[in-house]
Amino acid sequence: MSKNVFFGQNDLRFWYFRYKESNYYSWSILIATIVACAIIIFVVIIPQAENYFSIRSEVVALRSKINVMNENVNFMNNVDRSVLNSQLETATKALPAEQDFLLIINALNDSAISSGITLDDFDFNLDKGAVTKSQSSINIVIITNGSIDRVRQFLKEISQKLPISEISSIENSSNSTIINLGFDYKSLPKIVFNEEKPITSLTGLDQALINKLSSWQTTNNQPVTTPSGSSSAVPLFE
Amino acid sequence: MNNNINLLDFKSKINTTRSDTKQRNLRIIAISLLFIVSVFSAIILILVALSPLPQLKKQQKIASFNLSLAQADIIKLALVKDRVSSIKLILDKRRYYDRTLETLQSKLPSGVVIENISIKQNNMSFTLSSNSLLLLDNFLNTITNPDESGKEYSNIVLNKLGNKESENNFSLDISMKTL
Repeated sequence: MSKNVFFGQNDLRFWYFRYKESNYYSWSILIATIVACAIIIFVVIIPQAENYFSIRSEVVALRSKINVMNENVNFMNNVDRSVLNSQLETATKALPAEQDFLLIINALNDSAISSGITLDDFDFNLDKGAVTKSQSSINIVIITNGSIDRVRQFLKEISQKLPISEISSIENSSNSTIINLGFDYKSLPKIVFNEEKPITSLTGLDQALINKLSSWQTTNNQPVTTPSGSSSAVPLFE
Repeated sequence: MNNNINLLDFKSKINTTRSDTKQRNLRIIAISLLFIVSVFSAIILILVALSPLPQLKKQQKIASFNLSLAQADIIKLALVKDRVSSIKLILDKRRYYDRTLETLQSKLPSGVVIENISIKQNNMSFTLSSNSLLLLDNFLNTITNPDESGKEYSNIVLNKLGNKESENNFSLDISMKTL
């Protein structure tokens, strides 16, 4: 019975014993070693080295990402929640997310009382006034009674009330003035927070603007006192 | 016949020596390559094993979790910024008609009154009345000859100059552009 374990085993033995003492054997071993090493270098070591370098660059990127995230966490930990809430309240009062007629009527009423003019009639125009896709405006036509000085005072007062308004035109004749003004509102944007982006605080100018708006708001909330020279002033709703 | 005492051929000995040298060189190359392969394998294994990537990913998760706790405030801050930038734009393009009126009134000599006025964008038209032509003339001189504060109006057009003899009253219709 043949004791061949695999095909050609005897052939291999034959070749081994035939050449093991010859130069060919050592040559073939050396060449095989060199070829194997070359294969390992090109197939394993170089790709692994590339892999290591990509891991290293990933580590560098991740480190900077984590730094930014930690800075963001620190920044948010140092933010005064009450100040932030009041800033948001002021900003949304100044530029509401939707039509807020109560705020508008309050602003008109307060300005009328402060300036001593009478609002005879007003008309809300909701169809016109799309400023941008997300920002719109409620246009109002007001008919007032009062001298030019009082109208000027009214314009000044309304420009310092929340929500913020834009006057587009005024027409005055014989103590009656037609004022076209618009109150802007803007829908809330979809906020997509990117963790890797550093959070920045409000700039000095932004802060100053918020403070100014806040002071307008404070004026708005103060108890309304009728000026001494405007005894004839009639509030908006009487 | 070969009479030399050396049975081996001299030339073949030289060939054997050359072959040995080549083999030795090749052995050195093979050993070097083996050494390089083993050293590089070990280095890469150590570097990959010691990579701080898993630890950094853990840190990232922690930071992300901490940020998620403050997400409501982050959104509030973003909203404040959005509102403020929009408000800034509105206020920048806002026209202050009260200031326009104030400037005009400051230029009016006493004795001249505004009968009616219309302001739209930077177009302004108004009617003045006075019982003195000189006062109206003074006013016209004031607005046409800008003072140190610079030119405030342009395209000044005198539309009409009227006189009501019964009331001894002069009226002046003017339109202009505010700068």
